[in-house]
Amino acid sequence: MRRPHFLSAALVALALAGCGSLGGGPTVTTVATVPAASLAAPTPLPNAADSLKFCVLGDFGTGSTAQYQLAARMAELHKTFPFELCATVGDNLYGGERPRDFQRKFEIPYKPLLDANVKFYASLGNHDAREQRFYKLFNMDGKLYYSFKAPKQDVRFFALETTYPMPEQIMWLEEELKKSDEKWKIAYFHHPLYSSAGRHGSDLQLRQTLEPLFTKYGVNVVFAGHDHIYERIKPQNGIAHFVTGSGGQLRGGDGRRPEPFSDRIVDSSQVFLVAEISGDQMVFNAVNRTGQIVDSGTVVRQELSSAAAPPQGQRP
Amino acid sequence: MRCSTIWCLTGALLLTGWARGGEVVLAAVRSQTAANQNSAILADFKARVDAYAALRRKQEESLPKLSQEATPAEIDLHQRALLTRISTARGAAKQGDIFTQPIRGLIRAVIAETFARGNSATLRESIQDENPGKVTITVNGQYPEELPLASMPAELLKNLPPLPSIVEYRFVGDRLILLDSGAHLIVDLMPNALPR
Repeated sequence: MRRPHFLSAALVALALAGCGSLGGGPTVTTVATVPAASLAAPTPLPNAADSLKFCVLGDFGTGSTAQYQLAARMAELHKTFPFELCATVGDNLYGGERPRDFQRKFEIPYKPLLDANVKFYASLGNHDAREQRFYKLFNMDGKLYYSFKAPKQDVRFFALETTYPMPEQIMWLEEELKKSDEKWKIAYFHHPLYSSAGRHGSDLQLRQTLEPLFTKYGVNVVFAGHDHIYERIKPQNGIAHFVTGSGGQLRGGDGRRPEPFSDRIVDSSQVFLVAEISGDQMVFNAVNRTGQIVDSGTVVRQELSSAAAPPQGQRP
Repeated sequence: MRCSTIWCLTGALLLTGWARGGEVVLAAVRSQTAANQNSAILADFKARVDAYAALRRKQEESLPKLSQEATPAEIDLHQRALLTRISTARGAAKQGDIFTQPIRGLIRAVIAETFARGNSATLRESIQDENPGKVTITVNGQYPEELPLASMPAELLKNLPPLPSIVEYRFVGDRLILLDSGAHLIVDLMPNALPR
């Protein structure tokens, strides 16, 4: 990966958003990104010793050559940027889920990462059998939805099951968010609240259910999949959203009609995302299967008390 | 059993009726009668679902317990054995054993009410998202392995009669099924569950 040693005027603050509240304090989220034309100089990952480094992968379990190629890129990057965990946003296994499928669609392609002790924390998609929650390498501890504190930095992840958002899960989520006093709250799940893709697009029902909780309790970042593209959304109500649904599957051209809330779409290659959190900053790079950085930037969280009053977030 | 929107509405209607005088009191009494009937239907549905859960528990207890360290092979074996055992134990199961005619009427009314009170377009969109459509499925048979699961909107789950965690409501086309998600077994199904 290229590692330019600057981050300067080339960065454009593209969006400011509204505010979250409580559960760790009201925050604003800003995203500074590198324009697509300047991606030869992406935001460098600081690769600091005490930072939290992680990756996000979605819709990957196909067993295809493309999945293996992207997995090889992940392994290659891991040698210089040792991310410790990988959040999966569902559709971990397509088609059959026999033991050989777990090998062919997960254990073999990600063997270098598993051997390097990268922990995968799965969430389930609509192609995933519920028993995946018992699969040790997915670290779900038998639960369809769960939260965990990251091993470094002040970060909590919330993995949700969005094909079946039963009332118990929504109540659980509110309780978990309420008691979370971590600075960073990151939610990830399968169905995107915002997506420009033609095939599925935004799940408006789910948005109606989850977004009020996310804004109330100050969730900073949301990762989803389902649509087989990469998309970064302009912050919505204080939250940075990413669609990372091309970890194996790809729906070429499906992002040809970006919604007004869209900031960057990649629908021509499989993509995974790596990120690094240190203090109030999350630097991210989206990488495709030829190793090219296709999106890059920094998400900054700021306590509202020390921030200028934010402009209103954009509404689609 | 949790009080869902439609059942609360029945109560509200009743109270309003009493407040408005004689004629409406009669309507309210009728509503009360309907509410009692609904309660009986719901209790019957719950009893049938609970009976299934008990049968399932018995079958699962006869299998080796899955450990926290279970391998994919063990998980797969467990699921298939559970499916076979439950399916055999319910050999005579037929459509309508759990989704009886009265509960079908009530569930259709709940779904229609949810659509009428919410955003019917986004509800339908959510349910149709990767909905497997007109595939062949049978009661007491396996949910087809390669098929994705259609999403269930939270708004609808909130209103449908609650289920134990071993079974889920799912749509396949416009059929509502009761799915044992651990065994991949279709416990029962009802046709024409979605409003036209």
